[in-house]
Amino acid sequence: MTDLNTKNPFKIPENYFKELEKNLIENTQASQTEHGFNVPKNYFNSLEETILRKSKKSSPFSRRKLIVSISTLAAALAVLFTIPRSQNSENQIEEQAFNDYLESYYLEDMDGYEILSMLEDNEIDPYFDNSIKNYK
Amino acid sequence: METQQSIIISSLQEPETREKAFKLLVQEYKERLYWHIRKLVLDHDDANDVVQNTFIKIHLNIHKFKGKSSLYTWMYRIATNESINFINSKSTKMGLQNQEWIEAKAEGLKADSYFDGDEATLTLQKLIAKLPEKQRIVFNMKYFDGMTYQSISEILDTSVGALKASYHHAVTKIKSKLND
Repeated sequence: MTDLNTKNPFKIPENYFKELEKNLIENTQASQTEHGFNVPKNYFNSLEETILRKSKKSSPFSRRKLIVSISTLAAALAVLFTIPRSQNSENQIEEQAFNDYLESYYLEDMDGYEILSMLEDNEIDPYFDNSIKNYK
Repeated sequence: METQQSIIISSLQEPETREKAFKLLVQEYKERLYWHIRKLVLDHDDANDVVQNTFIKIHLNIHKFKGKSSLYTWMYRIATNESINFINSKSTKMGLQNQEWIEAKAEGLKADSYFDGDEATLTLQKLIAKLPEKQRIVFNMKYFDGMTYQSISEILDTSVGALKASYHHAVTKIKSKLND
């Protein structure tokens, strides 16, 4: 271990530390001031670049945005027109089938007594009570 | 000035010249809008976010500009609204009132590396932060930016009389606190 060379093997560019100090001071110094408020040095140059870059992405006429907008609209319309209709048509089909079933298989061959026998007592009583009252 | 504005507007509305015109617009107004926003939100990073959003909004909505007011007034209005929305959003997220949030920001100015105002400037900022929002905005526009009541009226969509009253109340409050 003692034979190893302890000299620093890494090198730096000439005048590096002088430049580093200068750069650090320049970068941390506020360049402009107004009523006590400062901004970082060269801030307004970089601000301009950032705004222009972002504005290109957010162009109201960008193709990507147009495609996304059309797709969203199409999806919304699809949801708007398909879901309520399918629910309505499902409900209508179910109701129609139930009515058809009652008419064709149950009620056609039943007399009043048979229909009454299918009802519970508490469903029959109010009907009769009201009927009696009406006739009084 | 009027001619330059109309050239910029017509160039912004033509797809072929839009990018170039927008660059000119950013170059021309970035600093003025930034400083207006900075005095409302106080912090440099916040002002940086708001000024970028402001220019993006301007870019997206320039076709809606009808020329009823000057272009600068229109952009100033967007910058003011963006600043207010930003403060609303930040204070809501922190469960604070707008004024509480601004007061906290003003208290933090002393430690802000991008604020080098003296003690009097710092005190003034703290007192401005205690003003109700409308008075604070009017005071900044009148006192620091030296805008006319007519221009402020167009930007804030408020009558000149109401603005004069707001400014008067703001000045009276600040003077009275300074004398305490």
